[in-house]
Parts: sequence; structure tokens; C-alpha cells
Amino acid sequence: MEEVSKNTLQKIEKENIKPIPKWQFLLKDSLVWGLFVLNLILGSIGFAISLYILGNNDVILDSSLVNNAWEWIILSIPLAWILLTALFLFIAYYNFKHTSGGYRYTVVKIFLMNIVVSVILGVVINGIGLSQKLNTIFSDHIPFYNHTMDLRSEVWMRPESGYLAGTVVNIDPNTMILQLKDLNGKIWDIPFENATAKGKVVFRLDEKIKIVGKMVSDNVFEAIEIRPWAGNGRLMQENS
Amino acid sequence: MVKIPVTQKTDYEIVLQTLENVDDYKYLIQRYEKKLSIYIQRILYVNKEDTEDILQEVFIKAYRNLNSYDPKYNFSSWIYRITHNEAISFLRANKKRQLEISNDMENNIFDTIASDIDIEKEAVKDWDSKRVHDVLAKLDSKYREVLVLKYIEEKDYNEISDILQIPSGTVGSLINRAKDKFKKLVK
Repeated sequence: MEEVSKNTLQKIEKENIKPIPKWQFLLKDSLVWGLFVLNLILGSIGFAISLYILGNNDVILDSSLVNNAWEWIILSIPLAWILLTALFLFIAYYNFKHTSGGYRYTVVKIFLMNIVVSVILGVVINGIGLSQKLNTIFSDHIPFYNHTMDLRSEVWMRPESGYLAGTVVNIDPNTMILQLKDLNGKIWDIPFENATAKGKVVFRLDEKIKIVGKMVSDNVFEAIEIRPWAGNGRLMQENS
Repeated sequence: MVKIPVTQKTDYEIVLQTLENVDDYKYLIQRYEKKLSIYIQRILYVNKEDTEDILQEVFIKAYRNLNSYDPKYNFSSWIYRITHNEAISFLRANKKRQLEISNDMENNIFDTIASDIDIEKEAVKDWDSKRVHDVLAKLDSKYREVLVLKYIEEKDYNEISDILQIPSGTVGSLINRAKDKFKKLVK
């Protein structure tokens, strides 16, 4: 056994082996912890936006917007955000497991801890209105966001079925026609003379609205009811 | 100032000394080489030459990573952990190799497992060490290792948890499963 000690020290000397500097381990640890915290925050944001979308989903309280139960499920559950939240939480779990003492916790404990933190943080983020702001930023800047992540786009971008949403780009009070840039960027003429306003809808430029009506031609959609973009069916019913 | 003899110094104190002067690493090697060598033989059933090669690799890796040692944990668990990893690497590299059960190993080291199961009035009454030894060799390495750590190395659940990097609750269930497998092989 004396040999092991001698050979090891000889090899260390011969190959000039040096201990890896402490800062490299500290950097690695910090990265792992940083990624854990980052993914936990992203998971919380994901949960907050899921809450926001769910809370502003008209389909849940107004089933007349959909044709069947399957459509109701598809259009009422923010599946993409829920999956994204789960992905962030999984990455957070993976990073936590790779922290120096992470192995001491079971998978269930780590996931439960991550879920509890994300739910609490998510409720706070949604409560202070940050989820709405973030959703708007994503919607404005991320291509295809509206169709993949925000279910309202799927519900309200069906002009043939009588549902249209977009941003007001022009209002002509004389002709009672407003111009709407829909969520795909297409411009529509919206006669609104016979329309009723529901909820806290405001008629002004750059306002995002939802319209129930009838598609008259390729770029004309006659409004029957105009609703604000944010706000759920309950609010609309209360205000109607 | 009174100089403390190396034998009375803690592992961490020798780690700090080694980081200053590589020659002091021999004190750590001397403290652990026998224990680790027996541990390697118990879990891998390898000959003396292979044991020494693995051991040397363990000490080189430990030296390289000395700055990552956290004094919050046992140094013993830390170096056993490195040994465990090296043993896994050895097994992977020698997958096709059959375990050669050598009789030059101390047979009495396996008595503990037999007697533990014996105490529980199981089927291994009056078994001799050689037969326990043979049964252990047939066990999957993860079960063999946990039994060796618990009954031969006499590590507690937290130490085994630190060595195998699994939750201590999982250590308990792994030991129970290993004992079940052992009993099945005995029957």
C-alpha cells in the first residue's frame, strides 16, 4: 500500500497536476443556483400568465362562443403556457438536483417546493398586474405568440363565425365606421352604428377590442357587440 | 508554539495543508488508502493490481478537486463518493468482465450481512462467509454496494446518502430491496 502513496505523489509531480482553482467551483455552483432561481422565476411568470389568460377567457363563462365540449377544453385551458411552466419547473428541478446538497431531497420534495414557490410568486405577479403587462409585451413582440400562447386569439380570430379582435387604428364618427387592425395585421372596416358596448370598453385609437358581429365581405365586419380585450365574461355580464 | 502531530489533525486541516504543500497529501492518502482499498475490493471483486490502479485514480481525482471539498460534509464521505464514481467507471469500462471471486479477501467481512439477516430469522442461518461472499457477488452492484456500506463499512444513512448522492429515505429503501434480493438468492 505504501506504493499507492508513492506512485500517486510521483504522478502528481511528473504530470504537474494542480488542484482546480476554487473560483471555478464557485462559478459552477453560482451558475447552477442562478439557473435554478431563473427557471423558478420563469415558472412563476408562466403560472401568472396562465392565471391571467384563464381569468380573461370568455369561453369559460360564455360557452356560446364555442361549438362543442372539445373546443371548450382546447380554447379555455392555456395549455401552451401550462406546458412551458412545467418545462421551466423541470429545468429548475434539474438544476436544484445538481447543487451541492440537492441530492438529499427527493424528486417529490423538490417538485412540491418548486410548485409552491411558483404558485405563491405567480399569484403575486398576477395580483400586481405584471402578468397582463408581460402578456401584452409578448403579444406585441413575439411572432405567432397570439396564436400559440394566448387563447383569446383563437377564440376571437374567427370572423366567419362572427368573432373578431384587434386594435382600433381609425374612428370616423360621421360614418360610424372604425378601422380595426386584427391580430394578424389585416385591416377591417367595422360599421358600429347598431353595436352595443359591453364591459369597460373605451373607443379610442390603439385600444384593443373584441367584436361580436357578422362578416359582410372580405374586409368588412359589422359589429353587434364590442367588448374590451381584457376582462372576462363575468365582468361583461355584470356590466351589461 | 506546540506543533500538533499529523495523526491528531482533522482531515480538513490536512486538506488545507496539502493545498499549501503537495507533499502533505501523503498523510491523507495514508489515512484512507487501506479503507478505500478494502471498499473497492468489496464492491468490485477486483485483484490487487486493479485495486491499486483504481485507488491511484481516486487520489489523483481527489487532489484535482480538493478545492471543491466542502468542510460542512465529512471528508470521508467525500472521498468515498469519488471512489464510488471511479468504481462505476471501472464497471462500465469492464462490463463484459466476470467478477472473479478471490479467496485472498477477508472472508469474515461478509459475516455481518449474514448475521444481520440471520438476526431477522431469515433463511441464511449457519451460512459461512464464503457462501455469503458468493451471493453478494451475484447481486447487482448497486445493491452490493449499499449492503457493503451499511454492514461492512458501517456507514450511517446520512453518510451513505452523501456517498451515493441519493436522499437518505432512498438509502433505506435501497437497503431493504438489497436485503430482499439477497434473501431471494439465498433461497
